[in-house]
Amino acid sequence: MRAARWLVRRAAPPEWRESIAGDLEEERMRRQATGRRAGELWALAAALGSVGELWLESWRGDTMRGNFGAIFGGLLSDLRVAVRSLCWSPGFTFAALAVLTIGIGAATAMFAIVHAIVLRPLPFDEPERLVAIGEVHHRLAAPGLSNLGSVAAPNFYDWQEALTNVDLAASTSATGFTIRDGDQPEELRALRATASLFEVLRVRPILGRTFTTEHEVQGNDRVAVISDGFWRRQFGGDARVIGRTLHVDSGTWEVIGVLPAGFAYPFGVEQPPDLFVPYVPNETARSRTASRNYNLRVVGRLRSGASVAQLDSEIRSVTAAVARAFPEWFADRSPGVLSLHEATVGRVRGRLFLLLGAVGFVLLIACVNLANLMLARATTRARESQIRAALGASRWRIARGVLAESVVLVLAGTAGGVVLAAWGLRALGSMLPATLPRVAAIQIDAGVLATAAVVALIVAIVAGLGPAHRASARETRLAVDAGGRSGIGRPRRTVGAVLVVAEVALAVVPLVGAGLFTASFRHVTNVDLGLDYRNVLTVSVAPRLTATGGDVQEPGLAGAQAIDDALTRLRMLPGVEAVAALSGGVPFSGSWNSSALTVGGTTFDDPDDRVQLRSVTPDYAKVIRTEVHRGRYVSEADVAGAPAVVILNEEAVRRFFGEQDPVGAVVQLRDAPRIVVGVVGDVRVRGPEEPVSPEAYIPWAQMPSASASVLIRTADDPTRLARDVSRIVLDVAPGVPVVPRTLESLVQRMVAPRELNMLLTSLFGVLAVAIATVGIHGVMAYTVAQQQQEIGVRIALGASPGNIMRMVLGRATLLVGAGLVLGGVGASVLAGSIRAFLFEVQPHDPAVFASVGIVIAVTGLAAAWIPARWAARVDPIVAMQRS
Amino acid sequence: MSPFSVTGLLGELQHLVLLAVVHQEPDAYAVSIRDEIESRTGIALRRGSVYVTLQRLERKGYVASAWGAPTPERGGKAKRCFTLTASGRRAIAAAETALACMKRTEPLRSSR
Repeated sequence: MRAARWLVRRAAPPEWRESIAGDLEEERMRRQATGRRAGELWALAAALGSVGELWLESWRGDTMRGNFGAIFGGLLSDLRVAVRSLCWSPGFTFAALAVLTIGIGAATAMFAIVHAIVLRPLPFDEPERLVAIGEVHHRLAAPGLSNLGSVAAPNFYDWQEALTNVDLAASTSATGFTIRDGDQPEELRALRATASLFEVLRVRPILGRTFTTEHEVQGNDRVAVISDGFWRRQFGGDARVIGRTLHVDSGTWEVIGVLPAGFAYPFGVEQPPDLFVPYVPNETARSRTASRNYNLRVVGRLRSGASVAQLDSEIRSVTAAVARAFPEWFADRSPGVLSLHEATVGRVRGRLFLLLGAVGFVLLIACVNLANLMLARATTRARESQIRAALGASRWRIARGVLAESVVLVLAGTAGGVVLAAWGLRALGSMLPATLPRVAAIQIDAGVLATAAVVALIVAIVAGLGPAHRASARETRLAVDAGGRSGIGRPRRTVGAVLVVAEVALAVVPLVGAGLFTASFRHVTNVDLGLDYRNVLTVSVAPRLTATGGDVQEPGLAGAQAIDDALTRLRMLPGVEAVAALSGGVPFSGSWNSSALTVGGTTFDDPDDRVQLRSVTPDYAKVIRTEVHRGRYVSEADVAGAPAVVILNEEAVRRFFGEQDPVGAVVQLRDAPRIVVGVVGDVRVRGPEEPVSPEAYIPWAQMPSASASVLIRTADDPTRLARDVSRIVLDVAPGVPVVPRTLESLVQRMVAPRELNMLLTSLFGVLAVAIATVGIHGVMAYTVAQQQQEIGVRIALGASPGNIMRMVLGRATLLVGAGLVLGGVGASVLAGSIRAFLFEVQPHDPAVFASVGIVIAVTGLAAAWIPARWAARVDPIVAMQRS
Repeated sequence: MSPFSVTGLLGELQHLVLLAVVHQEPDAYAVSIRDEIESRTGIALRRGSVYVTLQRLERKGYVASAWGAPTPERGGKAKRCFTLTASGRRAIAAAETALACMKRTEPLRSSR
């Protein structure tokens, strides 16, 4: 009965309080008299039933009275008053708006990125039925890892025929394609695809038609479906494009269709394809001859009712049958199935969610800070609330005033935040690696706006509720008599202190993340790559797309005369220090040729042991500045008829020769036996985070190739020469597509994800610390202002300014210290979860934690310094007069 | 002008409570009203509903309340007693007329 009485006393409307209490008492007596149970629980339930409905009634009271104008009028006037009173205190308003804009802006921008890349379904009809199929190399297979490798053509055709749960389509990676409609050849990306690609993805052309299986026949295959972008760029969006021909030096292609603007496939490629042409493999590619070429990207649409798991088990049993007949095709790999969404975003999701988490901390700190600012304001306005209460305003009425201010602030802050996010995304757009899937689709759309609105609502409620409660609390009313002097007692200061500790603790976490990512990035960029990648321009000459759809057999740069001509002319360009040709994959480009190596009767054919094979001209060592450790490098004397030679790197020597001197030994590589004539230093051609591979260098003249690259070392910025270099290469090998890139940009691309992690977490960390600093400053300044009399008394009693400053700073130190300890504990708990994203740095790296501690301690104390100075300068006479 | 046009129609619950007040006057209060309705109709209203209904009726001006004397069996707490007002009486009459009109079986010829 005590609880019930308490409830009625606390919660019933005053005019009902006594009668309800009496009614309850009366009913209880009656029940007891009739022998029914009337215990504590009954009373509580009865009280709750009585008061609860009255509560609800008062809540919908306005609505029930049917006067909507009154409610909204009241609301509008609340908002109007809020705007006016915010204008009266520009300092508070500016601080609150800045904090909110930053918090909501950062969160909205990051969410827009995650939304576009990870959360949104793929832009196809029934996207959940799309799957990606690949061959997973056993060495790369790890649970939860989404790296499906490319598929060999014979496997694709076997699967297409045998699988009943799925319709399959395949495409190659895009190849270069030069059209010569004007004077300037234009470099395009062409994707060879099976006709089924359009059915599987369910894409309808906006003009014309797509190609069909009839076109998958040699001689009938010279048709192209072009992308919307290319159509607009090249043909100005002319509807008469259908039937026009694209002139390539190897022939002509007829445009038969234009794809819609939103069509994007494949994802995560640097340049989306401009045109799609039929994939027509020759007989050797389809048959299981000795050479295995993994070059197809396979996508499928599940037939209705089938699941990824069913398809997975089906493809395993189908493949097992093939593997019995052709064991060598599946010795080191097995088929893998993932939903297309998973295959597209799986490898970036973790990283993006991590960044979203980091931004969440910034938003939380902004929330806490706003609550803190509002609380300080509510307390300083206690007298206003008291007067309003005395004039008959209800608690709800007073709380509404405070909530209205928080709503106005959050509305303005959200508007500012969305603008900041739009601006930030534009700035960020160029920083995001193009290999991030769907990066072009990032935008602030309705979904993002809706999320921002929900976030803002939560912020408004979380930040506004505490202060609203406090403003309307009974204690403030009781403080009327105190002359406003002690209206701010311990409780308020304690709450402020708790909020500062929370802000500091919350700021530690993203800053530790930033520290760990920065350390990782530093380690990655400090890895010795074994070459000097600065000031090197590479021009890759890709094989041409020919009428037969196969790779060219034409010489390109392979002809001895062509390469000599090109190198001689390039060497004469101003600022060029050395020039070399290379085939087999430019370092860091992600492509290489590999071969098994046989030495002394042992063949090393393990995938890990296969050597990377490159044919180079003599100056290659000079261009990339690697050192010859033993013997000699490729020389001008190593011509086609001369003895076949090879130069190995240290890693190859370590693996295949151990302690023996390899120079003079004979090794078998792919084609023929070769004499090892030299050893060069290791180059981390696969990037700084990958292990060193064994490498073999062969004289260009002894193994020329149509698919080659020219590398030019220059004295200064190599991009200046890009045009001249392209022109010379085109002169020598007309019609081939050329792509100039610097070696440095290739290295940058490899470390770009880490750089992005570092930049974004650092940005979030800095924002978090900045907001927390504002919070510390605010609370300390507030405390000093409230303690003015106390400080005045102290000074009057002989305290020196130094004493006073120490007092204020001591308090700040305590708060920051407590926040650091809490945040440190939180960060060390969370740090374990980002281990997978770090490179050669431990999640609990003491140096990172220590520097974060120092940074926050210094900025925190600096923030408290100004209020401490104010405190030290308090004039005791003025302070006493105030009372 | 119909009395409903200003204050709205009587809800069923309000109607019941108003009639209970009529029977209990001048000593109608929440507990007795609830008892009256339960004993006559078998409908056991929730306590809260009775309070809310009384509050609404008072706002509409159909009932008026006054404090009764505190009694010991109520733990020394006073009752809040309700009496019907003139407009409450009119509201009952109007509601019943309206119901009666609606229940009449022969169609009304438009005579107005």
